[in-house]
Amino acid sequence: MRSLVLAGALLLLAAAPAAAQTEVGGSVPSMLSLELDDASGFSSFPAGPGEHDLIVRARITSTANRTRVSVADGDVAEGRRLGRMASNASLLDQPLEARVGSDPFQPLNAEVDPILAEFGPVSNERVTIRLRQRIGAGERPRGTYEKTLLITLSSTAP
Amino acid sequence: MYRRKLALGAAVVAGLAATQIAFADAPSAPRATAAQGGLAVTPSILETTARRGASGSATITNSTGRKLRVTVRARPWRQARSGQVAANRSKTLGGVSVSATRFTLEAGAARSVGVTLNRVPSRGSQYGALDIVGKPTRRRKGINVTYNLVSSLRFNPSSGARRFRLRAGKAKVTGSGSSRALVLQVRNRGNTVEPVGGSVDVSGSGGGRSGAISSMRILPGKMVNLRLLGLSGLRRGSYSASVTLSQAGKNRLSVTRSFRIR
Repeated sequence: MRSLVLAGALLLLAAAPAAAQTEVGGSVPSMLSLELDDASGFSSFPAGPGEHDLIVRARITSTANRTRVSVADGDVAEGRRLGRMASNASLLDQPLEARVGSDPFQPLNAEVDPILAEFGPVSNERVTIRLRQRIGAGERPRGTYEKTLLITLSSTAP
Repeated sequence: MYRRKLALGAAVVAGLAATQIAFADAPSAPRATAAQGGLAVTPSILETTARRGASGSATITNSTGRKLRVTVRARPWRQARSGQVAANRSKTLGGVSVSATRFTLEAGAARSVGVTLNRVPSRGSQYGALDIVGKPTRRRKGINVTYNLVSSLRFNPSSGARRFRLRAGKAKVTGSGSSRALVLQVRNRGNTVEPVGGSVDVSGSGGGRSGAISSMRILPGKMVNLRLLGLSGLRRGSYSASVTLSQAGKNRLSVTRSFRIR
């Protein structure tokens, strides 16, 4: 009996901190974080017309009220090469396109960077960016292609 | 018997203690996850009072597992009529300097970057973006993804120099069906980005409606279409909207605008 009382007392002692009212809290620094997987592909294209897809997976964390994920050409800001895969001087006819989810594809040679998605405050939100490259009937892709994609996580309010 | 019960009590206590430790550890788990494979900046809003030499710092962390070539620039915002902003990548923000604009960040490394206001514009404030680009140092064939984070820089006017002035333009009906809404052109003639909100009261031949206006930050000098309220369900006809705009907790402007739903 004495041992039961002792065990009970020990239990009460252990439970006491949980029952007591304690201020718990802390400050969380505001942050923006963008994680991208190591997507690879689109270095070459088979001959003949068709559509080619590549998926870039991102994960975002943001404390801002509204944040936006957009994608842009990271090599050039204007001109013929904007948004188009390049193999030295040769360019594919169609621009790269991007979308998130079931939204329509948006070309990367537009004047305004395509906005792919918007979020409220999020933690480790997964975003799947789908890239599409279309090859026309009369087109003959040759060589090794390259393009830098600038994937942006930005606050939408000043 | 006594020993066995004592041992049981001790085991329960140990179990409870372990549970408490596990709960205490739980909040740190997202931090560990967030640190995997990305580029991060903290804070997301760098805010201080505008005066010559005012400065702040942002910490940039590379947790990608790859070395990144990082460029940091202070940029002006472009604000669309919708109120959304984007960093203007073809310009740099006047009067603002960044302590390190180009550097290499090793995998797992972090670096603090100072941002200083060297010249205060005549309006007494400066707003812009901190544009951070992280490029893998090794370029590959095919697609190369590059990280870009855009955070806010706010050099607010001192409390005595704050000016709240709003000007209202036309009211317009936008959209159709369930997305039909009433917007009011509002220009910020003050020198802060304090959110502009308020209330609206619509009345007319086809009924009436009132509501609170979702607040929006407007850059000094810029004009946006401030969404006042949704109009779905209101019948065709002529209406009048009484709008009160508030900023920093005070009513700043009251206007009445008429409009038609066709």
